[in-house]
Amino acid sequence: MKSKFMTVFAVILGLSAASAPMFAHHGSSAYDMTKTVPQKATITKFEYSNPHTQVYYDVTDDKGNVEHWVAETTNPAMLNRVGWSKETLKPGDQVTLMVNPNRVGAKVTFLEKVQFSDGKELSTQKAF
Amino acid sequence: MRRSVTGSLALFLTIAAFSPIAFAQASKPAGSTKKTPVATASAKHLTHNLSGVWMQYADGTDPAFPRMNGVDDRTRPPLTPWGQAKFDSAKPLMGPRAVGGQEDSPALHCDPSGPPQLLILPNPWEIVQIPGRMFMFFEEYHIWRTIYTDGRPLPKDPDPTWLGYSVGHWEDDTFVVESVGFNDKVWADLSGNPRSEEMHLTERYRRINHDTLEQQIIIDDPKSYTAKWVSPPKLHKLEPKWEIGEWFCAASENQVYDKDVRKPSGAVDEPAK
Repeated sequence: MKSKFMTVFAVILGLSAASAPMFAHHGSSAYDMTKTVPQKATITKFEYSNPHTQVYYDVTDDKGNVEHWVAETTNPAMLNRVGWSKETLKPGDQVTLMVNPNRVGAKVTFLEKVQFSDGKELSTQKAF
Repeated sequence: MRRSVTGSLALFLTIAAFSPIAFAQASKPAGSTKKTPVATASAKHLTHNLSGVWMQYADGTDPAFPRMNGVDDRTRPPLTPWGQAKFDSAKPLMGPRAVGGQEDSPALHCDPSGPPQLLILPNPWEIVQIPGRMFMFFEEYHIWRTIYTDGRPLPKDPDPTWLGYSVGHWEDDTFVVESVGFNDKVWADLSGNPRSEEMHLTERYRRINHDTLEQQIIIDDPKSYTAKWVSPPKLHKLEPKWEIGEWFCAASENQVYDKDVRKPSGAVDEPAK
């Protein structure tokens, strides 16, 4: 019941907030673009595709439970110009993803940046 | 004499206030520190060559994604009843009415885009000029468009199409594109503002210096709007090292994206593994 209330509350918040369009093909109203949070992730699949690139990843919580998440970002044509390729991420890669969280608690995020284990970073923001 | 000077000054101020450059400056968002290019004295006789890859300057209306204001909501005239009904039925991709996961645009079914929406999409686009034609190649949707420059008139009763039928001519340093024959399946923008089969679209392009193209979009659609929708000029930057990449709305990829990302993003469903 509480969960349902929080969901409705979050939806109302989402509706009342000005949306922040990131894409032409799909708006970004699902995400809180004012916040960026880190997630320690294990990549499970990387779809370098149109209309938007998808990064599938697992996150292990404090109790050891594995959650399945997915992040989206812009298209390969734009990402290619800022150093990305279809080889950027591979299943099994351990990375930190900097993401904009979902407004309604779904495990779907918007990807801002990848931090690799060797300290290197790759942003999606410069692509826009 | 004093009256004459005062009159001249008033005339100058009036012209300056309504010049496209003044509009371009005015369209910059508050707090923007990026210098907006302006026409220089050396650009007195501007080139008639607009060829190149162009990308919109980031001076749009939304700080999170500040492009895409070539069709500018802030200058939209009131809707007609027909236009209002279309607008109300749209579930937009952006703007205050957008709800994550609940958008419903023709674009989400991989329908083609078309002007003027096509002209404001955030990927780069390329102009190629040959005798009698100008081509515009748009990265997003991978659409090309032909603008006839051989002096032919607009067709009198064209069949409605996604891209319409376009002719262009030079007025001094401004390339003017006139288009008719659009269908009403494409929104004018991404906020759900409509276009109808009655739309007459005018675009004005001016290369105000080597690296900067000024674009102004004027929508005359009496079925949708109670007056002409004249957006402020939008500036685009030349990107000489960029190539137009492949961007197709592949139906199979779009279905995966829809199922795994777009729809779950507005709900608390578990995303597909």
